[in-house]
Amino acid sequence: MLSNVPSGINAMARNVIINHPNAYNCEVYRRRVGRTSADEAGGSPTMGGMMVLSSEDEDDIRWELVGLGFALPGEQFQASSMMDRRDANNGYADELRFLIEPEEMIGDPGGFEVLKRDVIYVLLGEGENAPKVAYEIVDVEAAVNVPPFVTRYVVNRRDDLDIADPAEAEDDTIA
Amino acid sequence: MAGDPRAISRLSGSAAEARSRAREDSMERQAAPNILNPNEVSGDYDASRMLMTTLGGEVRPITADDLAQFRHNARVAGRRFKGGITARQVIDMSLKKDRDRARQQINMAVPSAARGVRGSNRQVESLEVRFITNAGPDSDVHRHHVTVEFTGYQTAIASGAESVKRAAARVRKEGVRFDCDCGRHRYWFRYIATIGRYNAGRPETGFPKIRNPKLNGVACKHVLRVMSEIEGGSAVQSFLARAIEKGRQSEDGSGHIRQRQKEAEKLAEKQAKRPKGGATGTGDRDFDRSRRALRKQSRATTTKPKRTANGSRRMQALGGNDKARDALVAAARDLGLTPEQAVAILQGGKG
Repeated sequence: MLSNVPSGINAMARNVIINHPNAYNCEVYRRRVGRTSADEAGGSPTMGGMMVLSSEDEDDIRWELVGLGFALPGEQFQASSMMDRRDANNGYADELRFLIEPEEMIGDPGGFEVLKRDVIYVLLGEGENAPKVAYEIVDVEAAVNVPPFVTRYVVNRRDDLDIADPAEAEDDTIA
Repeated sequence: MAGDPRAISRLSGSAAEARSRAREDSMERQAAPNILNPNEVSGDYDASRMLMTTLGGEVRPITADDLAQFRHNARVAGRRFKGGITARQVIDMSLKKDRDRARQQINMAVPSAARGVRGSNRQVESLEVRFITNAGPDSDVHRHHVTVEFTGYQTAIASGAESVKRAAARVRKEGVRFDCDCGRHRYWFRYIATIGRYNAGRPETGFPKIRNPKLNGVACKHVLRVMSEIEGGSAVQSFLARAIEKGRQSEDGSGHIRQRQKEAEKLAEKQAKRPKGGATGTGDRDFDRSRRALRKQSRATTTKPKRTANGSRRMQALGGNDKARDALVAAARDLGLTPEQAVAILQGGKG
């Protein structure tokens, strides 16, 4: 079976990622929509399909920890288009690739799949007070063109979400 | 900055204080000679009264055109609030300068007492919670009383299907009516609250012709702080849960609960300690709110990985070693961190 190849790569990759010297622990967070009614958002009626295109468009959302995993930073640079002036390229800034493996595999209790638009917090240390740096998954790529594919994650750095000291309280804003 | 301890000292006398301020306010209103009453707004105005307005930017006598403009503004404001108002909408519709003041000056909002309020048919219709906030720096009083009525209370009492905690979580997302005893609410916003039908105190029928002829904004800094606590504060939710529990015991929702002095002090101190960095918003408030929710959630979550990954362990060692700056920067580069960020997060962050 040809699909043995990607399955085999995935199994090896999982082993490598978890044990790699450069792999980090990470926490994966996902948006959940708080709105329960289909035709109302924030006290006002929705306008047809508007406001419900994706969780991005919702105003009443909360974040949930989906689970823990291991994240291995991959190559930092991919070939990308040049600007016409040839003084810079498009799409390099703050874009990275990660290989991410959940602690538990899907099917096992606590197992999950990392999805596009999830936010991962990479832990730069051990223990509860380790600093966390944030990345948002903006794309999931297939590196092998045979199911179940071999996935890698394109992430954007989200330094606005970083938490240097988790013990400190969140800034107080009325927003 | 610690909170003003005078604001919540002697919680037990606060209800009487709130009542006496309301009485005083009402008496002053009755004696006020320059009120533009609804009859006059609708056209029955005698120009010899020489009432003034600031519509257009400067103080000048009211004309018939102004009255037409007032009628129009009131109609628009009335439409804006059709269907009541929620805590979220109060914050969303408020003016930026009020939100800034709430963030910078008002650092506590403690629920002090709650009771079921009976409507005209003698049924309990809503839950009235009195909040105490500190006063701003230029105020002549130490504290303000903000009254909030939760209109979802009756459903929460009647529907035993939900746990009190869930019911409280729902109640705080539903409609509110409110009132504050400060001057800003009195002279700017109470008229809007009255025509928007979310007013919880003395109704105001006199058009704010001097202070707020365009009827901008919706809530003062004290109310905004309270609304922010209603929306996000766990202490308010547990206070509401207590009130709902009490209401369910008495079956018809009547009942009265008070905050204990010690708990109020503890809560105020906790609220006042929150860092006031703020002001790093992008301008897109939904986005900012979402970012903040994620950071808050992440801070509140403590996880323990099954095994510590090698990279995390190495970062821990490098972060603790001042001499390993180069190795730290090199490792951080793989993660897309600039050298400055790496040093700030890993070495600066730990002092």
